Amino acid sequence: MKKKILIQFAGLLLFSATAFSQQYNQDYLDSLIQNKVQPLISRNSKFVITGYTTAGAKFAKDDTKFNGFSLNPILLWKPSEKIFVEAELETELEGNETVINLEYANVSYFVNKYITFRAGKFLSPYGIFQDRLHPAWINKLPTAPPGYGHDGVGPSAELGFDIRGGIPLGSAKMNYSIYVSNGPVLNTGVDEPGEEGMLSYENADDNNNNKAFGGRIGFLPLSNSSLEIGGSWQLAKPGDKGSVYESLKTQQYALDLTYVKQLDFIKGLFDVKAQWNWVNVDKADYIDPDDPTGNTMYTYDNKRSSVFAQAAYRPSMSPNKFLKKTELVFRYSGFNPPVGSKEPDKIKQYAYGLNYWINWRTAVKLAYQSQKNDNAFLVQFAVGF
Amino acid sequence: MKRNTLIIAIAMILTTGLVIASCVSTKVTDKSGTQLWSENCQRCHNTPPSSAFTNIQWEVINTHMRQRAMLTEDEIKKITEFMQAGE
Repeated sequence: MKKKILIQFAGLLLFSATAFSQQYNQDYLDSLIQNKVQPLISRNSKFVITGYTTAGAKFAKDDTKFNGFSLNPILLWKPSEKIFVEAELETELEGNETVINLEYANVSYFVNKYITFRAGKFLSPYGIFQDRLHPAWINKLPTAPPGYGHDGVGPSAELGFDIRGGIPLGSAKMNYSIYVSNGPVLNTGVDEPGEEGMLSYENADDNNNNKAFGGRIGFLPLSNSSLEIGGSWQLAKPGDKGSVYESLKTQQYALDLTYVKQLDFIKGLFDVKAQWNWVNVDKADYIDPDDPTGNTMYTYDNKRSSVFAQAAYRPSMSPNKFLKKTELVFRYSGFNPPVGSKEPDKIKQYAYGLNYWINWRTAVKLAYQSQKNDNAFLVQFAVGF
Repeated sequence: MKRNTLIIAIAMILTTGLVIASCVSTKVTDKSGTQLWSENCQRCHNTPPSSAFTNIQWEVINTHMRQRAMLTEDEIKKITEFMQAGE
């Protein structure tokens, strides 16, 4: 009996000690959280990691492979009501090499309701594809249209600053982005024969003191914001300082169109996107890549353009759960190199896609892409996170 | 070339017709968060459900969207409140 009481007493003592210890620890932890951790949690909790990843496959006559593996983490941080930071790292396989690119990294300051000042590296507000549609979880096809990419027809990213925002105009509204950046660099063909006269973008080093001036103005005339028409431009001098190309000028223009609306009579979402790009560079003499001695010069009218027009339909109002997650896509794209240049021929491409949306940012995309001597069946799994 | 021009012209006429058919007039500043959410997100990507992010994450994500989609402060406030309400 005594032994039993002793055990119970010992148990009570142990429980009390533990309880006291827990109470002490809880008080300590509460105080620690309140005084030290909470401010940090508050600040850090406004930090979000999002992004997307892709995996794909291409089935073509002489080129069948698994490809398109990429991981693009996006870091978003809101340290205060007025300041916002965003950055995206593009990690992908090029051959057997893992390549990491800083897609964008910039700081925004919200000046007022309608003006945002942004500085750093940002996607070019040139049309809609690069700025809005290129991420794999947004792009409705596994590929980008011809003329897009880091050395495409028109800029892809800028290093500089811009001011941007939206303005309500009664039942309509508009948006704008105007920037100054390092601008493009003219490829003279010395290091890359066959690419003379082309422009490269996203330049961290400015090859001359000239800065590019560009922007985009978008107008949404309808009250339901379903239609947007945009015009973009960029003016710059792309030639190296001190070279014969220093005084050359380039004018780049783009027009874009967006129409997205859920329409009752087709029981689904109808989505149209289109963009036309024109890049003009002043005429200049370049080394003829066909002459191995490098002594022959040649020239041509350096004007190139590209276009894409895409239509998609998703029966989002269908009672069938499977059907409402499927989407049909068609895209026509074209690329026109300068007449007389040594660049590859013009491209006309047709793409037909069938997507299945597992959730709002995860899709399995099947597509057949057709162009001269290059037809392929493409599969892509795109996951936003 | 003529065929492509014809295709683009037909597409533009069709789009114009659809646009006219879908016109309803409401002042942008009078729109609710629900309406702004349903109209603006889908212009680029699928419309996210409110459960996609926590309330604090929505604040950050929508600040990102304010900058990227060039929405006004009022528009993004209404959309954020709607998403945080979890409706």
